[in-house]
Amino acid sequence: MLLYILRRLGAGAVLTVLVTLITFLLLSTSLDDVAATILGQSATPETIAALMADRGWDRPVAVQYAEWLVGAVQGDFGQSVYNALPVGPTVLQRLGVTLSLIVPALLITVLISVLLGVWAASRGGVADRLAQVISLIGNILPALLLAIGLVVVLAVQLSWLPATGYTAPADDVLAWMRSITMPVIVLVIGGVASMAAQVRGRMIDELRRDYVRTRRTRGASTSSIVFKHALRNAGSPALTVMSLEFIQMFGGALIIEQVFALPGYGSYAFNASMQGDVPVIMGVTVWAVLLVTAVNLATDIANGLLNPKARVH
Amino acid sequence: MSQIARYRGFPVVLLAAALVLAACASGGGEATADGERELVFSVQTAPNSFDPAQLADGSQAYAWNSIFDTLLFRDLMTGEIQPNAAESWEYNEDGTRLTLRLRDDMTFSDGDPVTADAVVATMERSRDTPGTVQNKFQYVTAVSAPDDYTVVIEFERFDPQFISELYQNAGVIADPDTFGDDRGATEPIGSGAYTLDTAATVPGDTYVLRKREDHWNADAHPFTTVTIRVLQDPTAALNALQAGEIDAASVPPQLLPQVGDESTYTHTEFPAQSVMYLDILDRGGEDFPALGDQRVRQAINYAIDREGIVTGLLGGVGIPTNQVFNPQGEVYDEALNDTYPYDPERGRRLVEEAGHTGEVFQVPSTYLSTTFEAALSDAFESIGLGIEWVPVPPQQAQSAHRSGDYGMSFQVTPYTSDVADVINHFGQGGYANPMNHTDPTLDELIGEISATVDQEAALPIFRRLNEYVVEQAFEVPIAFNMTTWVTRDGVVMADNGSSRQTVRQFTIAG
Repeated sequence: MLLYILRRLGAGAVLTVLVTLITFLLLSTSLDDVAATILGQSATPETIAALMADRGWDRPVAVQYAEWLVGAVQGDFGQSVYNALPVGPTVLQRLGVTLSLIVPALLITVLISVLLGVWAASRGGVADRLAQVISLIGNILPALLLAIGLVVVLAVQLSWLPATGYTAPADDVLAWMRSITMPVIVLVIGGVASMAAQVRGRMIDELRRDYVRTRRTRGASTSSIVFKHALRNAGSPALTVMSLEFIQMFGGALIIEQVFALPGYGSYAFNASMQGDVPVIMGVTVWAVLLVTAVNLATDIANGLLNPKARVH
Repeated sequence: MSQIARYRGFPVVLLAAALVLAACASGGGEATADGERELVFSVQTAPNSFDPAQLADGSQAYAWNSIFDTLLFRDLMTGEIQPNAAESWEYNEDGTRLTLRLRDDMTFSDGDPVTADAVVATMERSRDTPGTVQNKFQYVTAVSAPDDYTVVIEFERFDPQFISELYQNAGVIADPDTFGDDRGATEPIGSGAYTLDTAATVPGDTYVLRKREDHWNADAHPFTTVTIRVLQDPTAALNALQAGEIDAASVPPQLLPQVGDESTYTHTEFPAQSVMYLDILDRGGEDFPALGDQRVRQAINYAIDREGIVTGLLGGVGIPTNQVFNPQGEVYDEALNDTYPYDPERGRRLVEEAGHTGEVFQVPSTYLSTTFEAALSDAFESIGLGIEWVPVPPQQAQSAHRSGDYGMSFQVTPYTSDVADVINHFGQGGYANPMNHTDPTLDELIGEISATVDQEAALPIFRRLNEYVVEQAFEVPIAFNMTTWVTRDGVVMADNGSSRQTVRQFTIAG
């Protein structure tokens, strides 16, 4: 198992280097555009050239990338070319904001999805149809529209929750909860819509299996069959869905962050891309690759714990 | 009870939690018990670096303009240049030496006195450091401090733009002690009315400024704390305003009807903050011969339904125009706005006469142009020409504009000063004139402006130039963009749009 984890981590490191190399090569073709953007309307070919030389952007791309890589390995991702803030700490700060939305949202999504999926699969009939309608509504409802609707009702009209902004939990836990409530609701509704359907489908398959019938004939209660046996077997694919859901929430956080004006990872990455802020783009790329690799690895390990057949030796 | 049934109360728990959280609600910048007043307002763009050599104009100036004193100030109502950190200023006869006399009661936020040496050091560093400010010192040959409070700037020739740069980023005074330290870009030390509270500030999101009661001009700043929130999405800004989280925001025209009750909100319209125009880049017709023909340029001007664009695409919040000069400035001539009435038929005849019917021009499609592309395409079609919009990513918009690959580009240019507009729009190397077009008349007029130290005396020349460029149709002005600030809770705007971005634009009603 340890060897497997090390192998996966090694593959993740190689992937990170490859992705950052490709990203850097793509970005390096437009460094003069970045210089022009920094200088604004006063840019001239001469001032652009001077700024390029001052920042070292006129050096060979291989030298620039090697310099960046050496720094990154040591934890120094450079500075934003616009606001001079160090990329490493800023990425972590932004990541913290986004994860503080996604983790609670994911936990609530899993809880509701499992309850809803199990309820629908075990009860059938009206319960099942109701669960499907809930999933359908969640899928149809655009996150953006839902977010705006929530802000108008809960923040603007009722003044229950803040319309915009973020408070770190370390500063004020209650204020943090207030600031993430609406974003989490939006993420949960979208998440439950897809995950509950997956849990339901998998549970229905499990409840039709021979071992379930055998247990029923031996007088086992429905709750015992569902929670002790079927759910454990259905858990493995649900975990995969959960990891995909995490990545989807992470990628889709931009919209939520824009509507609720949260200083998260998505808006940080988006602004850097729009401005061509090379060190920031490189930093967010590294962390995105590392995060996705870590989530996939954690999912595989958890799958192995749930299902001995899935264990890798 | 089944496992499922135990969770029936879950929504009730959620609702209860929401109500508990709601009970902890807090408002925006209201007066506190001890009479302190906080101002919270939003901007769309986060300030870049606070390095004095890298300061950017526009809404970013709200933050740095509060932290650094500028040598001069632009009057909130008249737009006239006023003393600020410099009590007085004087040019020599040919405008090659500018002498500024500083106030003697200024200190930096770390307690060090502000002297002429600090001004000299800041200027010399900005001149020698590649960045946003360097170009403004292009004609400066030397800066010196003959005594503690006198600064002398020498020029290779008179630079008519320079004096108006001194109320912008070229006029800031920074503490020279911060120059060798990277922290200067993020933890600035200036002599301005506010200091940046770095502990409360979240870069890119919220900037908290604390008033310095020992500032020489503290009385002009009624707010003890100013919080600038970066809300990129205008709808989020409106939501924050309506929820009472901010006191002021610039609201785009399409959202104005949603603002609500007029007794709660104060609307302040600034008539012209920028001009929107189709820039003719190849005015000499070097690569695009049709654009070198005055008749074609005039035809394009006749083809634009400016009233229709303002009504249909700007929600009525704009002013149609045939000229690019600021209507709040002294060069603007209302009579020139009748030069090109909407008359596509006349435009079509001019294009036919010039023999360019059927020509199609590639124009960069940028984030600025997308809203107006259909209207402009229709306008070109109506006179027998065509536009092919070429998508250009935001970070390449400027490069595309300067590349020489395009004969025209759509631009929105903010106002600084009349003289800057002359140089930017019609001077060789000006942003709107990247192919360095000129002709004998322009040469003569710009030469006269550049040689006239007394700008009042140069006014007739400015006006002749305006008349000439409108007649020549070197550009296709469309409309002045108006800005509407919406404020609440006793906060009102103290200016009419004539000043530059400064927190002094905001004040308390009554």
